Amino acid sequence: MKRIIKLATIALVLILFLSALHYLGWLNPIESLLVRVFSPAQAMLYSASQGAGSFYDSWVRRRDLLAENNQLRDWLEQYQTDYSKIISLEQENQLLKQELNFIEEQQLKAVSAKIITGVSDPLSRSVVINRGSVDGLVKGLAVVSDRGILVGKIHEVNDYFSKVLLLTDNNSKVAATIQNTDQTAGLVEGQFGLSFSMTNIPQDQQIKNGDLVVTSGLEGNIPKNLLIARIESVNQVENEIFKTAVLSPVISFDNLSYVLVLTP
Amino acid sequence: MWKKIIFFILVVLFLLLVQFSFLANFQTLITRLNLLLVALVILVSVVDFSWSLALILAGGLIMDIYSNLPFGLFSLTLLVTGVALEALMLNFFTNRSLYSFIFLGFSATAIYYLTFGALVGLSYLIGLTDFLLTKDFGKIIGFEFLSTALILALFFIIIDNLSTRFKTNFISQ
Repeated sequence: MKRIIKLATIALVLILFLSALHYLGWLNPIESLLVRVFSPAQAMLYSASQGAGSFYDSWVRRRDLLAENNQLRDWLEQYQTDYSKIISLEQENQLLKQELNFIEEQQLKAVSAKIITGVSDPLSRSVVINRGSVDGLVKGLAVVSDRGILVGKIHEVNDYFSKVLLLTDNNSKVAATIQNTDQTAGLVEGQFGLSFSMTNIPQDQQIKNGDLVVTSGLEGNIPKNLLIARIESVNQVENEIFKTAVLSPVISFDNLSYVLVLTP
Repeated sequence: MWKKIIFFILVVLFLLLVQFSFLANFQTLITRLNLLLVALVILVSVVDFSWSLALILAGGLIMDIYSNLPFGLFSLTLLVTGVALEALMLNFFTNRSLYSFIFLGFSATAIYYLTFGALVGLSYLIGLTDFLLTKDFGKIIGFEFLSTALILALFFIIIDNLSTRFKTNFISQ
């Protein structure tokens, strides 16, 4: 047992020493080297998991397709009879088209990055990308899908890789605006890694399901008018100062392979 | 000896990459397997503690690099778990039966997550991290108790039936 304690003490000192080197930044080259060495295998496994996930999803969803199809037919009939909703859809369509060419139109600078893996801890909803400080990335930059839809923010930067905190993470907070007549401001927050919601919406603001939520531009590193999500439902409690809107993502965060990091 | 070390490093890397580059991406409970913890229990049970320590340091370092939690948290968690398991092995599990193997798996999961929870809570309190345990985390731990024990039981049964190498370590009960 004495030998075990002796070995464990050496290991403890080594761990503390490595941690100190990490926080001093001296371990950075080794960490970068390890990530670069592992990234091809990780990217392969990540792609494989996406492929397997898609297969599983399609298999599971097949049984719900008939019911969903009927529901969609009902919705279609509803849309056909409701002219105002068609107008609303046209506007929405216009916005999505604008998003499609967002990067070119807004003349933003962007760095293309590949997602190489998820993170090792079970407490956060993040991914690791193959771009780091040598590519000009800094903490807090906006990360968007290839269609210009915000998916997260840069959380930690290393020389050759960075960690991206996805919008669905519990700790994710982004200043946002609803595209209604009042341009209602609020905060988009992650919900247990599964979805996200918009909080801090004043009770007197008129918002409705289907309204689009975009970035407000109040955060220095995140440009204005990046599409985030659309409102799925509104939770309103009397006597509360603010109300909350449950948001529905425009794209699936599980199928991302490549992202763009918007640089200043 | 060098062949053993290279093989060992490759196995550790493979387990880690499968764990958080493949399985974790499914976002389903059933794929939440803690393969590193399973490997640690097996090493503590069948080989010298220095090999367990190598797994703790190599695995912990890689887990820490790919984690949003404070650096060293996974290494410390694995070290505490490894030392506790070794102490349990030396003092209580001299009889290496299937049941003691499974119980060691339960103990490993409990010690691992108690230490992990305590270190995360401590680092949250002193402001080193913004991440704190969520209610879903309880489900993950619950599932890992079962999955770790199940993988260990399968490992015991397969090795016990197919190989004579570990017969000195295991007894069929």
